[in-house]
Amino acid sequence: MNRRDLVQLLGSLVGSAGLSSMTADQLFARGQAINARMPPGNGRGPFTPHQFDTVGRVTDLIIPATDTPGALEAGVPGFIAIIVGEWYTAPDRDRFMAGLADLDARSNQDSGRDFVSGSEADQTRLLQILDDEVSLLRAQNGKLDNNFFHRIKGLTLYGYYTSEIGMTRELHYQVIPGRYDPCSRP
Amino acid sequence: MRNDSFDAIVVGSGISGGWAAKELTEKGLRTLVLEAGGPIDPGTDFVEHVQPWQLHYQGFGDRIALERDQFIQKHCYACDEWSGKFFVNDRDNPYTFDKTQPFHWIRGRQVGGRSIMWGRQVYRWSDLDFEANSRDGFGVDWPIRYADIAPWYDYVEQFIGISGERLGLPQLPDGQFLPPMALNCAEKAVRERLAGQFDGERVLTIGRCAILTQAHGGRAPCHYCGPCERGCITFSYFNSLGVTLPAAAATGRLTLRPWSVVHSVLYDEARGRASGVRVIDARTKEETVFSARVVFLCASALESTRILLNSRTPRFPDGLANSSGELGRNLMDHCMGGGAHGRLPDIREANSAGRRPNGIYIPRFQNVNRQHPDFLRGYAFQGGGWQDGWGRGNDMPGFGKDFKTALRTPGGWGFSFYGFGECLPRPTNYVEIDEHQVDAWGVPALRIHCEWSDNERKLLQDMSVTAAEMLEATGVKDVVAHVDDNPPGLTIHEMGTARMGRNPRTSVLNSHNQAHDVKNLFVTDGACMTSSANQNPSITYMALTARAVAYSVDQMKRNEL
Repeated sequence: MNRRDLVQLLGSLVGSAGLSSMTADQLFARGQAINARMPPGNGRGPFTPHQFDTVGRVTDLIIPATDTPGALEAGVPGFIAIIVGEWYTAPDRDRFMAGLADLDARSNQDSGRDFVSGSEADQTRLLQILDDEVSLLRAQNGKLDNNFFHRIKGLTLYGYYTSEIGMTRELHYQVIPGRYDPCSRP
Repeated sequence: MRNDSFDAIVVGSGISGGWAAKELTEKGLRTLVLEAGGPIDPGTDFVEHVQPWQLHYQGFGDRIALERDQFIQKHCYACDEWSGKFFVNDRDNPYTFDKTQPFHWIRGRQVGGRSIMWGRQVYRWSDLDFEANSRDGFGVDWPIRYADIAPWYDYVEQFIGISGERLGLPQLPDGQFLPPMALNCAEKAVRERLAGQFDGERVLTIGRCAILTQAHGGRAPCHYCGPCERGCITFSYFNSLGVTLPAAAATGRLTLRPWSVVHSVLYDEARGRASGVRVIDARTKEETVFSARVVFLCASALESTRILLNSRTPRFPDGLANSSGELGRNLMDHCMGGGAHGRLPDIREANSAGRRPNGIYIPRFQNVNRQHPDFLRGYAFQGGGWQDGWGRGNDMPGFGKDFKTALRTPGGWGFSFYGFGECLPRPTNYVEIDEHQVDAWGVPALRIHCEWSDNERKLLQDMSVTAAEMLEATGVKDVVAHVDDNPPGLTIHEMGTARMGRNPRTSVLNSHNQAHDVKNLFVTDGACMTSSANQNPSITYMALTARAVAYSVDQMKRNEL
C-alpha cells in the first residue's frame, strides 16, 4: 500500500462515518481493518523512529547477518512493531516501551550516549548484562514474562525463524518434504 | 415457506454425516445433507502450505479477535492464525455453564465439520469397553458387543485408509492397516527399553491414524508437510469433504445444502414418525421445511441432542424421543493431561526430513488383567519423542553469531507421555435448553453441566505416576510428571446425552442407533455413546453410522420403517 492508497482508505472511512462519532470498539475495528490491509513488516507500528532504530539494533545484535542474512534483512523489527502495536496488551506495550527507555538510560549512564549511538562494543556489553540478568532470574525461578530483554529476544527469535529468510535460507525448511526420515546419523 | 421432500435427511456433514450420506445414497436413497456452515473450497481454504511469513501476525494469531470472537475455541491448539476459520464464532454460537463448572465446547461449522481439523487418531474398541458398564454398574449396558461392530470397523477402515501396526492385543483390536508410520529414534529407544519391563503389559506403538502411508482409493500418500489441521490439498488424511461426500455425490442422489441451520425435527403426532426438519438459512434466516422418510442426526453429540431437546411436541414435551428422560444426560469427555516428560541425552541421531503428523500410543494397561484398587476403567498414552528446534533459544543464554550458529542445527531429544482417560457415564453430567439464551439464528442454546468425578481425577493422577515410572525405567532423564487441569470438553471427544441401550425406559436409542420412540429417527454421532472407553472415538462413530444405515435401509425395504 502506498501513501496515496492509505490516504484514500482513511478518507473513505472519514467519509462513511465520522471518526469522532465512533465508539472505541469501532475505532479499534477500523484501525484493525487498515492494519490488515498493510503488508506486514512495512511499518514502525507504535514506535518513534528512534525507538524503531533501537529495536532494530537490538535484533541485529541478537541475530546478526553471518553467512546468511540476519534479523534486519528478515524484517524482524517490522514484525515486532506489529506484535507490540497490535497484539500486546496496553500494560505489556508500556513495559516494552519502558524497556527501550531503560536501555537508553543505561547506555547514557555508561557512555553518555543513546544505545543506538554507542559503539558495537558498548552495545554488546550492555546486552550481555541484560542477558545475564535473565539467566539469574531463570536460576532463581523468577518471573521472566515481564523482563524486557527476555521478551525482545523471544520476539526476535520467533520473528526471524518464521520469516522467509529464516525458514528458507537459515533453516532450509522444506515445505513439502515428501518423506519422513526420522533417524539419520548427524 | 418451501417444502421439499427426500428419501433421507442427514443433519451434519462431518465424520458421521459424511458416512451416512455415502451409505444412504449408495443404497439408492435420494439424500439431503444439511450443513449449518458454509462450503469449503480446498484450493483456497486449505492452508497447510501457507508459511508464517505470509500471515499478518506470522502465526502469532490475532489475539484481540480471538478473545472477542473465539474466547472458547481459542483453547483448542488448532484454532490458530491458519485454522481459526474452521472454528465457530463464540458470540454467534453461545452456550452457558456455571462458572464453577467450565466446559469447553469446541465446534466447527462448515462442509466437512470437524473432520477438517480432527486429530485423526483411530482406535477400535473391544469388549473390555462394551462390557464396562455392566461390569461395574455405571451407566446402562451397551446393547452391542465387539462382534456386532467388528465387520463395520473393517468396512470403514478399508474405505478411508488407516495406517498402523498390528499388536494382537485383546483390549485394542487390530484393524485393516496400511503400513505404519516410522518411529523416530527416541521412540525406538523407549520402545526397546520398555519391552520386557512391567510384565510386558506396556507396549509402545506408532499411532494408528487416518493418514495414508501409501496411495489408497485414488488419494496420494502423506507428503509429511505437518499441519493436517489446516487441511490437505491431497486429501491424504481422512475428512468427509474429500472422501465420503464425493462418494455420495458420485451416486447422483446427494443434495448437499450448506448454510442450513437445523432448528428441530418435525414430528407427525398422528403417525408417530419424524416427518422432516425445520431449517433456518444461516445467511437470510429464512425458514424452510424439508421432509423425508428417515432422518439421521449426525450434527455432533451436543448439537444432535440440542436439536432433539428443541423438538418439543405434545407427545414429547421434554424433547423428541425423550420418553426415558435420558436425553441430555450422561455427558462424557475423555479426561486428558496426566503425564510426564523428560530428556534423552544419549540419542545422537537427527530428524533429517519430514514432519510426521502422528505420535506414539501406549494402549490401556490398567484394569485389563486385574482390578486396580483405586479407580475403575483405564487410560492410554499418546505422545512421542521430539528434537528441539530454534525455540530452545528462548531458554538459552547468549546472542550474536555463535548463538545463531548453535540454533541452526537441531538440538537434543525430549520425550513425553500424555494420557487420555475414560470418563464414567453419570446422569449428573447433563445438558438442557437454556430458556434465556438463543444463538444468532434464534435457536435456543444449551446449558451444560459437567465436571470430572473422583474417578477421572484418580485416573489423571495415575497417568502421571505410570508415565514418570516408564520414562525413568527407559533411561529418560530430568523427568517431570504433571497433571494438567483441563476442563471437560477440551479433549473434543464429548459424547453421550442420547445413549444406546436395550431398555426404552433407560435409553434413547436402540442397538441400531434408532430412537426407541421414533422409528424413522436415527442418531449416529457421539450422542449415542453409552460409555466413553479411552480410545479416540471417531472411527466408532463411522462404524456405527454405516451399520445403522444398513439396518434402516433394510427396514425400509421390509416396509417396517
